[in-house]
Amino acid sequence: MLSMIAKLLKVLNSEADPFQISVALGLSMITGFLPLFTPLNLLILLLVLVLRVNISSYLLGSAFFAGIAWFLDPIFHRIGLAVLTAGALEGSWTALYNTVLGRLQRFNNSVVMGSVIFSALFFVPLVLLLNIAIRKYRDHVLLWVKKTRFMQILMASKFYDLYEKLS
Amino acid sequence: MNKWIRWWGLIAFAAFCGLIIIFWLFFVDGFVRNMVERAGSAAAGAEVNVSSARLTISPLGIALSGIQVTDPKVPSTNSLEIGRVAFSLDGLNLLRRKIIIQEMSADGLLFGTARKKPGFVILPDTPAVQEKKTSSFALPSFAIPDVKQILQTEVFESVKLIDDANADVQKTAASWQKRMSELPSKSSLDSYRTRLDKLKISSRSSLKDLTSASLDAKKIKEDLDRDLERLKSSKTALSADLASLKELVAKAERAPLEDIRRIRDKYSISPSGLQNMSQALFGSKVVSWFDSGLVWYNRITPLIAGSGEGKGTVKVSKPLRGKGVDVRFREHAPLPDFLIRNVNTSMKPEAGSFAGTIRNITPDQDIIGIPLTFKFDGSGMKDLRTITLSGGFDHILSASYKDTIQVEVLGYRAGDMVLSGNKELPITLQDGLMDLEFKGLRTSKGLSATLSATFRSVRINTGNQGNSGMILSSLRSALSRVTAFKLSADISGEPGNYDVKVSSDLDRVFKDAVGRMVQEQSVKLEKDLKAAVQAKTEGKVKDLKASLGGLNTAGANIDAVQNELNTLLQEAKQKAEGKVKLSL
Repeated sequence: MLSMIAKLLKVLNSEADPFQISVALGLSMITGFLPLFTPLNLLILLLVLVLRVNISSYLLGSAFFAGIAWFLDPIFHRIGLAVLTAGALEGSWTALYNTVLGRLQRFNNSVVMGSVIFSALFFVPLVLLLNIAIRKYRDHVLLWVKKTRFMQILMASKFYDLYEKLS
Repeated sequence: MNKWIRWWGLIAFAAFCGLIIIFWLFFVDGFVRNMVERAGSAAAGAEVNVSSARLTISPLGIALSGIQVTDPKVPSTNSLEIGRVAFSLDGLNLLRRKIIIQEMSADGLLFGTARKKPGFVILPDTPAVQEKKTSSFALPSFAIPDVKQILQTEVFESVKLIDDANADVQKTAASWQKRMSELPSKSSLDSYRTRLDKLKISSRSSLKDLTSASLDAKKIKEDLDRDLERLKSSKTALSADLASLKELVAKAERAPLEDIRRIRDKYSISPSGLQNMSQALFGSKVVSWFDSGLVWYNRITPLIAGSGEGKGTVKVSKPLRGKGVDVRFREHAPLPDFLIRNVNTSMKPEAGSFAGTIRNITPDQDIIGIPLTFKFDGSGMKDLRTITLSGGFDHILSASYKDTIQVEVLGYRAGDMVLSGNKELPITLQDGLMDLEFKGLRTSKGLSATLSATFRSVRINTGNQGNSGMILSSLRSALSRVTAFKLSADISGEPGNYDVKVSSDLDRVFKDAVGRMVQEQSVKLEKDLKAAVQAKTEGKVKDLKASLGGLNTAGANIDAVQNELNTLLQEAKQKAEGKVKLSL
């Protein structure tokens, strides 16, 4: 746990572009919310490896969002079921249902559909929000945090040694 | 461009995919084996083992060998063992999450084989098929009962009934005694007579006297009317009480006879009981066979019953694993999620052959519009000339499903077959040939089945001859001479609550052998019981009738007083009218 927090701090405090971190976290949200072995997750993995996004952030974020998904599954189920059984969309879902990819991805499953819709809706706002947050953190908080008494004590602790070793 | 693209990422992705494929190829057989074992155990309700599983990519197919299905009733044996199962899968449909198998072959079927170690049994969620009450299959006692002992052990309801009736009559009589004392009596009649006599006045009396007399006469009439009304209502109440008490007394009088009949039926075999001996002897065995069949039927049917729940034009169904629900949409070329078109099975018995085909195994019969059918034929086997097993599960319209099964067995050599496990009269078919025909039908309205079996060249063993009484000895002797008999059973009702009616031509054998003996025994027992019960109840019944007689007397008294009062009333009326005329 300590090493995970240390890694996160290392990434935040590094010279990496905030956009690379925020996009990686956005993609990790999709991976975390979706069931692990799906074609869409394979596509996300390809994007993470090919696009120059922060892989550490992606891996950490995936673990974090997979944990959250455990609590959000009932909401995903409700969203998915409502969307899948909406009369107006039946034609589209029927067409998707009749494709190999549609069946392979299990878009007809309420949790899968719910998590895809949830992730699609929150991907852009999350990336933008995180981007701003990381910039603000580096500009203002990082310096202030380092000066606080708490951080002074922390910097003298084992945790800081670990952080130092990793950075 | 290079600021955003990491070209080595493509190589990393390819390497990752390659690793996954290698991992899959190494471990997929194990996954398949575990999956079959898990799904099989859940379906069979007991441990299923698979020795090996092999998945081939081209052509896509699976071969399983050494499948053992534990018998849930006897976990140390396998109810079914299959040497090898092989089938090919439709690859494209598999990508669409549809398991479509055109041909499956299952060879080397064996039944009832021993296991190396007992398999686990999964306890069912739903209550097991309720065990049929065996009371209707109880044999009557064959021992000649001792009347003295019966009198000591049996509770005679008639005695209690007579005592209760007597108490009721006494109580009612006491109540009426009290009520009669409050009603007009002889002294009341005398009082009325005195008052009427006082009205006798001459024609020379004054107008005032006449008016006063007229008023007195009117008053007497009113009093008489009131008393008559009281008597009338009392008589009505008494009549009602008498009617109910008479009924009670009649019931009490009949009670000893009912006691005699009940005890006689309990301790002796009635001729009608003898007619139902087949039901008593073979009923529980038929139920046990039928229940075993139902257990398997209940395991199989959930596998072919569709799990979908309609929601508008789409269908929502709960997946076996995973979270959420799967919503099914109309398919352009509808196919079930799981379908085995054809299963060819064969087993190699010691002699002869046994093979069969099962067609269209799917939980979505409504999609393919064809029911599941099966047919197995065996011939020339060691203890069996021919066997045919056929039937179908039609769940195309789940609300009006229809499942049928027919079994025809010819020339089954039965050895040590227990036909009746009754303690007093165990019947074992030591040796013989059996032909059997069974037809079963299960619909949404219930189940019905008929079984008819013909036994030939039989030798029947009826257990230890020992000291068992005349009737049992005669029955045993008659059964030992039987060389052929027929047995039939009709079953109808609901699973867990069905009726079984068994008949056999052995009933005639039983009747011929011990019918007269049973009749004589029954008559003697009835006579002895009658004497004993009458001795207990005769005096009590006499007392009861006497008590009721007292109440009848009370009714007669009311009638007498009522008549007297009516006479006085007429007199009072005449006098009142006379006085009025005089006064004018």
